[in-house]
Amino acid sequence: MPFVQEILGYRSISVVGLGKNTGKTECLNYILNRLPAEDFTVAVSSAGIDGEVKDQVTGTVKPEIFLREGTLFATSEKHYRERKILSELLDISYRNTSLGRVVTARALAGGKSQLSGHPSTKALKMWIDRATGIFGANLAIIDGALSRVSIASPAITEGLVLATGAALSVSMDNLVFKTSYMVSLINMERTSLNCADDEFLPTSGIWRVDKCGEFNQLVKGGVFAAGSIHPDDLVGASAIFVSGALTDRFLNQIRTACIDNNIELIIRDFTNAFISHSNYISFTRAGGKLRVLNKSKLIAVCANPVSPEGFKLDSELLCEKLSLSLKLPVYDIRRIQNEA
Amino acid sequence: MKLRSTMDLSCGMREVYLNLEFSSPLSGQILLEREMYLSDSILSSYYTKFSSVVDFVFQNQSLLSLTNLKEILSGVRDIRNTISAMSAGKVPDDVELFEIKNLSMISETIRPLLSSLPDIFPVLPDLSDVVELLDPEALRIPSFYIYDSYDLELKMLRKDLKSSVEFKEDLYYKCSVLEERVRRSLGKDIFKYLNNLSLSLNNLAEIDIFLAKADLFIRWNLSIPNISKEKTYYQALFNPEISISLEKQGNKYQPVSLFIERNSPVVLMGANMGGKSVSLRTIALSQYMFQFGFGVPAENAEIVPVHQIFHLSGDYQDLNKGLSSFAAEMKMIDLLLKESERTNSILALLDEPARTTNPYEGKALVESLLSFLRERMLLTIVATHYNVDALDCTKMRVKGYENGRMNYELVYTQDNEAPQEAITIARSLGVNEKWLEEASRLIGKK
Repeated sequence: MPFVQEILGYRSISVVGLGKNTGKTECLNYILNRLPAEDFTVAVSSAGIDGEVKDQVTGTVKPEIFLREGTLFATSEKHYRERKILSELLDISYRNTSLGRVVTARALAGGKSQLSGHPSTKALKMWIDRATGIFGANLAIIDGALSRVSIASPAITEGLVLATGAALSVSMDNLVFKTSYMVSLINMERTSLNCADDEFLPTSGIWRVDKCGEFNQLVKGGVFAAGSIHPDDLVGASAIFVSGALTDRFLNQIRTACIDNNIELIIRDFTNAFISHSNYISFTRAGGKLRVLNKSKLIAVCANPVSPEGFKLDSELLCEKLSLSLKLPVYDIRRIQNEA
Repeated sequence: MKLRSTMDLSCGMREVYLNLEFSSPLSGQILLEREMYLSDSILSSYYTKFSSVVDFVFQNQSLLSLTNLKEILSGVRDIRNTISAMSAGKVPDDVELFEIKNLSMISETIRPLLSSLPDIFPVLPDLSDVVELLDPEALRIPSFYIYDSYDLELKMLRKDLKSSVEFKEDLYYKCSVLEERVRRSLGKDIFKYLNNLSLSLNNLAEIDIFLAKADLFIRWNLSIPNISKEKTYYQALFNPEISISLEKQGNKYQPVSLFIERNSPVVLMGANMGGKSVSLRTIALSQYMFQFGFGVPAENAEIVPVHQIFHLSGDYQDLNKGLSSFAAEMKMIDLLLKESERTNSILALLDEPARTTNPYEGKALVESLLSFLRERMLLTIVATHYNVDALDCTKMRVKGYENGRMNYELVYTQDNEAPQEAITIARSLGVNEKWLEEASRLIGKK
């Protein structure tokens, strides 16, 4: 069975869709159905408040997630009350989300439930630790919404499976191009600087980082207030840490300072890079170093050749082209399911 | 007055609250809603209990049982809404039943731990029946679902559900109808325990509050005051917040001692930067800490409980209301005078009243205010720079500059003259020497 064997080597993975209707949920079901049935407990949850039955944008019906007996799952109080599964309630979180608190339960028989998410990246991380520690799961799988509305970042898991598909673009070349750009962002190197643990790093502002990992604030607020970074402030800095989103405008303002003085630009993880492909390429080609704090290992890419409008790309050709460009195994879940 | 409304006062109660380490967030919420203790008898019985809690915590600080107790308490959740909804007849859902089971199990775990202790902590009601009801298979783990043993019919249906290969929605819905029936009957069974559940929740929070307060008491070196009817007395009063930050810099806070009596308002004189405002703030803080049952930051204390604390501090200028700082201050003092007609159970702490007006009228205003407050038998301290002529007042002043260092000690004095140290202090701050010389020359001339 492709890539499921590799997943078993991880403690936590997230499944992330490059856009809506790229087949993320199908991919998740595929993995859940193929994990070992004996002596193996899996815990599933979602990053962000997601999980409507019907896709609110395109109106297509979303496949529900099927949970087999013994699976641990976390969802909001609202969705727990609407579940179609016999399950035992294990734990309730203290913090509220817009759909109520997060409930952790164990499936006592096979059934279905919507998954909805944790209010913050920190809460998600804590849940993974609890699920794999106290509740004894062998693997935690996060349904990660890559759409920018996701509150918790999926990049804190060890591994990552990316779902891409014709919903993104019906031009195969364009699809390959967009996917490989995302893959290069996911594969950005982790910073070599010895920074403190992510939890203790500032959550707002732009900071200079010294060789020994000391932080000093350059700008309060986000990148929009960043016109004011003075070259003198950067003398002797090893890196600039952008705690929030990295935008094109900020990258252009700071690029020469970074390249000339060999200063790393550090962001939290790939979901914080809101920059265009051309800016990214021109920055990295000129020797600029864009680094992340949290990095997940990209395990595999799944491609869905069908777009919600009914357009269908050639599955085999798509996988081949993607695989060639990404230098990674690419699977069409539906096709391998039918062949199996 | 609720503890919540002291949070925005300038005397620093927020800092006290933020330094409490609760095991469960519920306890903090309950404490914030608590009313200030006003009567001698309530305060005295509270402090009797509190001092035995402090002794207990002090003796068992390193013991596992205390850590264990705190750890169990950390599982307590705020389920007041669930309890009140159920007492109004709501049928509980799985989440609510889980919460009730969780509370009852915590209560039942802690109950035997406390029974071995003499009556220090509030008594927890017996909830073993609720535990049994929600744990029919005697697994004694806090998770919950509608167990098979509740209903034979449900058990059979579930067997079918589990054995079927495909997910059968129809079967699932049949099960949920039966589950609903079980929940309804559980709700009825639990109904008669709701009062005890509510009592247990409050008492668990009370235990947590006691432990958090005792912990702060030990950490901050507080003491338990005596309750007095006539006069308030502090020996070695210190400001905990400032004292901690000074200690971090390697310095020590210099504590002060003082008396406040009803028939003799205290006039506090002394140089600028002599700690008058800090002392007033600390007295206000200490009074609140006393009446909310925290203990007080002093070596020894004897305190009169009051109904109201007036702490006039700093600048009240409010441009939005179109009031100058003088007008705002006058209005507050007016309010104090109005209240004092009703009761003399007031502690009035006035930091330089009428400071923003001319010294001639200012002096007259302060002198007359002092005589009013004395007549009405309020507990009063007034800090001022004016040379007030006040009969029957207790005058205290800050010792002031000695050998280039400020001595913050308060001493009794008979002088009417306010000490003249403004220029010395300005000099120590490195202010323009020519200006200060000219000022000294003018004083010499007069």
